[in-house]
Amino acid sequence: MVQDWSEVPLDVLVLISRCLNLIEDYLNFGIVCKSWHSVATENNLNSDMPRLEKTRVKLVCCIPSAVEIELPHQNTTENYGEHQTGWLMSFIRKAVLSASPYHTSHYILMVIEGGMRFLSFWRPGDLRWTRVSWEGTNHDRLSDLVDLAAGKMTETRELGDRAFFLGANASISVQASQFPGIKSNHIYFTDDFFETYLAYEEGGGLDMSVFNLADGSIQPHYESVSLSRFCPPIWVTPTLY
Amino acid sequence: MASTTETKQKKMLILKSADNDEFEIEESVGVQSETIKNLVEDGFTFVPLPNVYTKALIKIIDYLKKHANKTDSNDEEIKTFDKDFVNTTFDDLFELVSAANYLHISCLMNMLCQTIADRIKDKSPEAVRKIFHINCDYTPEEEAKIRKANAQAFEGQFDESLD
Repeated sequence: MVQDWSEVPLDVLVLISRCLNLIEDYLNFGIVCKSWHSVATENNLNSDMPRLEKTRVKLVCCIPSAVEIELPHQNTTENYGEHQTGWLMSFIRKAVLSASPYHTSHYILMVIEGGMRFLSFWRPGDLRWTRVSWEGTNHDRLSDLVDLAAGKMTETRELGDRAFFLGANASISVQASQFPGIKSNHIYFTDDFFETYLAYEEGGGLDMSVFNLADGSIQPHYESVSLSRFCPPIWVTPTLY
Repeated sequence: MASTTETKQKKMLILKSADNDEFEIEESVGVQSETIKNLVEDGFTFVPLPNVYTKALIKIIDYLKKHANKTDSNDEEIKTFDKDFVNTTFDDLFELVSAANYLHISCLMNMLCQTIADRIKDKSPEAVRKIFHINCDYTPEEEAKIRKANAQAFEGQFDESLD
């Protein structure tokens, strides 16, 4: 028997429309026919429907490749509700990929979220975000190793041959031995506290240097001042593309 | 006569489908449906279901039996059952969702609606119309107007397949 789904009771259509989690699919639902359109109203829009959090995220990795990945809603994070206090909590401050999804499906997406209080990660195939727990008392931490299997962080002072480049736009780890001039076991950082940039007449972005993990010393890597009042200094990474 | 005693202890209901087939089930199984529960509370033991056809009713009785025996230990088994249950054609899903809606079985409704939503996501409106045998009742002008309003949603490519 061939069914005509436009005859589905409206209350059933409402339930189906509320199960859609992407705004694109919801809008499409309303184009199918008039009765479906009458259902796809703002009122029936799934209130959990992501504007930012769960949407097909278009990551433009490098021209000409663009990759879309669909992420679980942030409310899938364990203990998500316990710390939720407002819109700020669902704000992702920073997101970093361990590898380009265009080239491999073995990558990790790590984000700073929850009012900058949490580090969470997602790997392709994960149904939920995993929040990394911090075990320790020293909040002025230097460098943390994340154990993905256990979802835990531990402090370290040893990066081996690695050097980190951190700042407002970058979180990159490089093998120092492959790049002449870059010191291993050092963290190169730029100022990422851009909220304060406008507060100072002379501009912000001055907090940038190289941190030596072995002895705890800090040396400047750029002697001049940042000239922009609102744009943080950024790391520029050469690529082959 | 143990079996007779047992039958006496368990209250039974008879459900009658739209195609006039009758099914005997335990009351405890049937009352997962709000519609049946209300009738049972009013003293009925014979429940005619003029909106539910035999094919869908057989599947739904299976579902109710499985879920009536839910314990802590058979969680995985039920999950597998549910997965198989919804792994069917769109036409069957239509029958099931209409029946579950009439019977007011909320957990089954949620599962079916989620399944349908999952299967139409990413699909173009044209593909959805074909799958659901829906005749578009918009004039081309009306449709163009809505599409324009939704323009932002059409940056991506939609799935045109019909499965």
